[in-house]
Amino acid sequence: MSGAVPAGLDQAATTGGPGPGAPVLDDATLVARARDGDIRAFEQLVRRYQRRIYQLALRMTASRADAEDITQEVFVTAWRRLPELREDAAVVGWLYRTATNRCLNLLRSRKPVAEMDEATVAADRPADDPQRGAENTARREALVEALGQLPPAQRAVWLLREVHGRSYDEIAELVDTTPDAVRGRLARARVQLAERMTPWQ
Amino acid sequence: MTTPDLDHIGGHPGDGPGDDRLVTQIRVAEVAAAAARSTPGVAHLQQGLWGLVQQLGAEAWTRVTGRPRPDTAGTEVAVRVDPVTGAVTVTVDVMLVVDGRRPAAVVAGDVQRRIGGAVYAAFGVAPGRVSVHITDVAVPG
Amino acid sequence: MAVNELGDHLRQGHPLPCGRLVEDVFDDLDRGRIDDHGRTCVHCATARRSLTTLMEATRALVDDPAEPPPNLLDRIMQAVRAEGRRGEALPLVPIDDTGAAVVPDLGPVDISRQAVAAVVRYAADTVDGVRARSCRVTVDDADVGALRIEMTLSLRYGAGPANELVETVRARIGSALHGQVGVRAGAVDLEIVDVWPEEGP
Repeated sequence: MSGAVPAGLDQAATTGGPGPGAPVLDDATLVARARDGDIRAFEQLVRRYQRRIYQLALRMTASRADAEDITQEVFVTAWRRLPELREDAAVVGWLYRTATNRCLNLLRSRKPVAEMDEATVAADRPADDPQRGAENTARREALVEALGQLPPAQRAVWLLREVHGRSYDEIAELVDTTPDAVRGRLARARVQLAERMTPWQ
Repeated sequence: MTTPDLDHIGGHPGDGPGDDRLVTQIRVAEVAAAAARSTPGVAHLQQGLWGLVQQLGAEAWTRVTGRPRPDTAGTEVAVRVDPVTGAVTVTVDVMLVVDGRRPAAVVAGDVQRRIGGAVYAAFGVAPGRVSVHITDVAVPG
Repeated sequence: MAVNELGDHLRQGHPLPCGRLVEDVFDDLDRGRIDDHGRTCVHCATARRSLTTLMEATRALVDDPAEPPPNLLDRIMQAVRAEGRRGEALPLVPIDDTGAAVVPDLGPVDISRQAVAAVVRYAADTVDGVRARSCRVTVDDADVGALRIEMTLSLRYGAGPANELVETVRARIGSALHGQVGVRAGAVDLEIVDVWPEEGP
């Protein structure tokens, strides 16, 4: 599974490149500049990471509107709190942390009946290779539906590890537990997802 | 309250920062945060981004002290022991919002003095540095 | 059937009826290896099918085609710009009640630029007929220990002679910096950029 992660991240990195003509700068440089009030530097950070944060929020909340709002909040908060960010290169971890917390808070406040509106979410279809595309879409839809049945914290752990490739240590911090507990939750999530995925097979 | 013996922190060279040091840092932060909060003109302490990470120490703290982890939001403490001389250095960073009734620079000076005094009274070591970061002035409206 | 059996066992922990752990089957799959038991055991085969389905679906989700809406970047940047120009903290000399610098020096003190700008803006707004627009706070290079303020203003039509209003604003800014921040005002550059009619802003 771990082999699949870098591909996704690469894709996010290329689609999230700087605007035309702008040099590609590393996170630490962008954060340092943004902290000095350089809005264009911050915009590059947003371009680089908004897709990942949006996708995490979308798969956590199963709602496009919520995912958009959460993504916006995460970046605006990041802008406000840049002066407190002591390690410039740590901005990605911070974005994931904030996004995960916002998602979990939102899900806590939701009424159970409104838990999912997956009808609005599952319909993304890639344009290339219709045959493989359709298969992948069906797989993805089945998985998204199964994910929706996991408890939110477990869903977060699974998404952060399997889709976003975050480290056990980082996830442990995010959900306020130990790396071993993360491994346990991840294993449980995998088993439950595999079980729910089976009927689709 | 038992006074932790700062001289013994990190008494095992090469161990790196362990639970002992973490717990001591939380003890110092607790005293410093209380001193800052009690200073006239301080509206509240501001949770720092990486202060959140320190909440990780909660487990070790509770195991050692049997108490819930105190609220040290906005206070960051570093305790270092010179491996050769054994000298202990304590530094404190505090992030706070002032209420706008007294000049921020005066409040900051008071906060430094109070934290220095409180840490010395509790642990017998005066902080080598107390940095104050004022993140906001509560202006009406 | 086997699937339901598997499901029951999965919920209890993760050993399969044959004694193998689902986690181990997963690891073997992930590493592309299989042993004699795995080749012949029906339970392991079932688990492998479920897990393979999950892994394929996971890869499909890693390649998630869900994109943030095109206007999200603009929304975020608009909100960020609304936060105003923000830079590093400004150094502040700690003083006692008489205004003298605290001795001995116990450590550095700084104050966020935004916080000072808010104080200054608020001071300007307290003058009837005046609204602060942009506000820039910097260390005054020509006046050691003082802050330089560059602010644009909007005036209400008929509020009074512009130069008198501007001087009142200047005085209020000076006393706000003294009383709330504890620092001297150096150069205060005020520029009127707009006038609004009597009825409202």
